[in-house]
Formats: sequence, C-alpha cells, structure tokens
Amino acid sequence: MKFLGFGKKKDKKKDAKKEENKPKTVEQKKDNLSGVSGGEVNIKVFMTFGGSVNTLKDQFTAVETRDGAGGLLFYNQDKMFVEDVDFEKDDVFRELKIILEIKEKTPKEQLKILDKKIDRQKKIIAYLMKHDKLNAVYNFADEDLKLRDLQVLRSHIDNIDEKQGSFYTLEGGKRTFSFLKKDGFFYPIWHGVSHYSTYPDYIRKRKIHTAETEIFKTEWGNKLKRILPIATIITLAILLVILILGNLYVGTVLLGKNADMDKQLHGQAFKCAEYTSAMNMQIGALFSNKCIDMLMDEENMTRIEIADKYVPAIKDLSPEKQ
Amino acid sequence: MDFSNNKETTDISNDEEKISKEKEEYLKDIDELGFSEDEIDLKAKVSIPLSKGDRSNILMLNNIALEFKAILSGKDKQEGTENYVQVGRAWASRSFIDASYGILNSYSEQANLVTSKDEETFFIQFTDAFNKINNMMLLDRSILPKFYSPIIKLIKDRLVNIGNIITNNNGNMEAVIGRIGEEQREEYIR
Repeated sequence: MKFLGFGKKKDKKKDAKKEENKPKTVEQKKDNLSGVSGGEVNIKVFMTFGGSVNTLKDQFTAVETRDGAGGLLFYNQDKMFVEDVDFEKDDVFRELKIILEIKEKTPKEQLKILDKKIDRQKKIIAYLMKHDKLNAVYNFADEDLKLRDLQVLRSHIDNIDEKQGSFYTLEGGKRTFSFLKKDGFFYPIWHGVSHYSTYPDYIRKRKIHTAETEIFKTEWGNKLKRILPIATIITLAILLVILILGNLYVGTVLLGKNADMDKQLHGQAFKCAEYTSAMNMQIGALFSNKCIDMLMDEENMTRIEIADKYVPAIKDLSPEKQ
Repeated sequence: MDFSNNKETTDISNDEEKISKEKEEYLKDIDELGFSEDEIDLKAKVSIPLSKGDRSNILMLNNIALEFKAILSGKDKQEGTENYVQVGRAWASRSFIDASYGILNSYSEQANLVTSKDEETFFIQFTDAFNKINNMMLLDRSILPKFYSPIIKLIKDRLVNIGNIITNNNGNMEAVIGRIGEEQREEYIR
C-alpha cells in the first residue's frame, strides 16, 4: 500500500509538471498578461504576527497614479491601499558604485571596501558629535547621509537578488512589489531582506512641505484678496464723487432755468390780476346801471305773471306760493 | 567641619583636568583626520561686519544672505562681536546651503536696487524664490524633518527683510505677511 501511495503521489507531481510544461493556449496567455501594457502592478502584503517570519497576508493588483505633487502612487480603491513609490534608490546605488569604483569588482571585494568606508564614516560622525568645531570642516548632514547610503548599499549588495538584479520581481509580466505591514504602516520590502531606506523621512517631510506651501498660498492669496476690495472701494468712491459733482452741476443749471420760468409766470399772473380787476370794475359799473336795476325789480316780475303767457324760468316752490 | 572651600578647589581642578583632557583628545582626533588646529579655527569663524556708519543696501542684503548661511552651517553669533562661530552641527547639506545662499544673495545685485520695485513685482520674485527653496528642501535627503519648518521660517523672514529694503514702500512687507494668515495658521496648529 505504501508503495502504491508513493507511486500515486509521484504520479500526481509528474502530472502537475506535465501540465506546467504544456504549451499554453492563447486565451490563457491573454489572462496572464492582461494589464501588462497599463500601469497595473501586483502588490503582496506580508505580516509577521509578532514573530520574525514574514507570512503572505494579502495579494492584489493596484494601479499606478500620480498625486497632486506629481509623486507616483500605487492605488487600489477596494483595498483602501495608497502607497508612495520612489525609484531614487536605484540612482543612489548607481552613483555610489561609480564614486567608490566598485562597479566591476566581485560582491565579496565590494563588501570589504564598503566595510572599511563605513567604519571610517562612523568615526567621522563620532568626532563630529564630540567636537563642535570640527563641523566647520565636515558637514554633519552630508556625512550622516553618506553613512546611511553606504549602509544601504552594503545591505543591497549583501542581499541582492541574483536572478532579477532589481528591487521588484516580475510575475506574469507585471511588476510585483512586496510590503511588510507593521503597526498599521506599509514598509517596502526590497528583495525581501533589506530594512534600510535611503530616504526614510520622505513621507513626513512631504506632509510638512504641503502644509507649508498651503500656509504660504493662504498668506499671499489673502494679500491679493485684500488688494482687490481696496481697488473696488477706490473706484466706487471716484464714481460717487463724479455722480455728486454731476448732480450739483445739473441742479444749479435747473435752478437757474426754474428761476427764469418763475419770472415769466409771475409776469403773466400780474397781467391776469390786472385784467380781472378791470373786469370787476366794468361788471360793477354794469350792475350799477339804472336800466338793469329796473329790469331786476319785483314789479316787472309780477307783470309777467299777470300776462299768463309766459312761464317763469325759475319756478317758485315755496309753500306760500303753492 | 566646613568642606565648601575644599569642594570648590576640587571642582576647579577637576574642570581644568577635564578641559585639558578634552583639548588633548581634540588635538589627537583632528590629527587623525589630517587637520591642524589653526586650519579648523580659521574655518570655524566667520565675521559679518555691519558698521553703523555704512548703511549701503548692497552690504545689508549681502549680510542677510551671509547670516542665513552661517546659521544653517551651525554657527552662532558671539556676544559683543561681529563673528559667527561654529557651535553645533549643520542643519542641511552643503549643496542646499550654497544653493539657498545663492538665491538670497542674488538680491544684493546692483540691478535689483537700480530698478525701483513695487510690492507686486517683488511678490513675483518672492514666490519664485520661496517655491524654489521649498521644493529643493523636499528633494534634499540630508535635511531632517525637525529642521524643515525652522528653515522655512528663516527663509521667509530673510525674504521679507530683503523686500523691505528693495521695495519702494518701507515696511509694506511686514503689513502683508505679519498680519495676514494668522487665522489660517491657528487652524493648522489645531
């Protein structure tokens, strides 16, 4: 039974190998290589769970996008994954290899040279921390950075992936980046071993950078906003002055014309008053005439009534008469 | 039993011993690095003379840039003198210090003073210089995050001072930057 069991297992392995070696169909190839032309990348998230061994926790695809500052990001909406990508590391290594003249040497020789350099660099930093005056000759920030770069280069050479020779692996035509999730943060795993970074403070510095630029924008933006109302107030004031002056001019002109009209009207009124007084005089004289008095007398009226031929124009409706 | 006098004498002797030991160590260390004491002393001291009688704008502008460079290099002013002496470590890399010094020192050119500048024209120069230095700081890997905001503050102050000298209206830059944006600043602090 044991033999049979072993035989079965062996057969299964063989079958699996055969299946792997079989030429893939066009559809299968298409599935594997879909998204190669785009900016899709594979992301692998590892966790340690309190131990020292990294275990694969999650694997998904993300898209390369750029943020407002032009920085490259890996983004996956479903997984809420947004991480920075920085390719500076490669440039630093290339430069360092050229400067240190270790490009064409074997990795062992490279490590020996680097160890010597790192020791000397550590000594310089120790001296700089001990004696303040030495900082006039050596720049502490530069020397500290140099030490960090040398340490990263050493780690890089020590743990270099001979197959790929790069800080990401290729799987199905897509780049695969690995991250170690620790305390809620994603640490990029370069070659699965290196824990050094050439620019560890980049994210924090970028936060300060964006905050400072925002403060600067608001300061100067407010300045421009403040200038604009002043300009508008000045223009409004000028317009108001023009309007007031115009009104005053037009008012004075109108007042002059009004006075002329009044003069003319007053003349006519005076003439009217003269005519009416003259008319009053004539009417008064007319009523004082004896002929009219006689006609208006009561006796004349009775004569008309007696005649009975004439109906008086105004009927007397008094109770005595009826 | 009064030990006070003895204590003082022992303290002083200890201090003297310490200083002499430190001096010996210092000389030994710099010898190992291949430097002489005079050579380091010469580089550790920078004098920025600003005589009271001379009030030329070019000199004043040049001094602003020099002072900025000295502070970033880890130097501080000695009391009662015009000398800046090395007292600590540099805030940023040499390349950044030189580049930012160059930007600030460009204002001390005669052309900047001959052309009468109003607030708006200086505003263009100001924003350009600030953005250049700010972006340079982000890319410079040697600057520690704790030094980022202080350096920005130093640059802003120097640029405002330069603006006060260059622009026609004296004191206008203070009115622009000093008062505006205080409310926004409070928001950011929260």
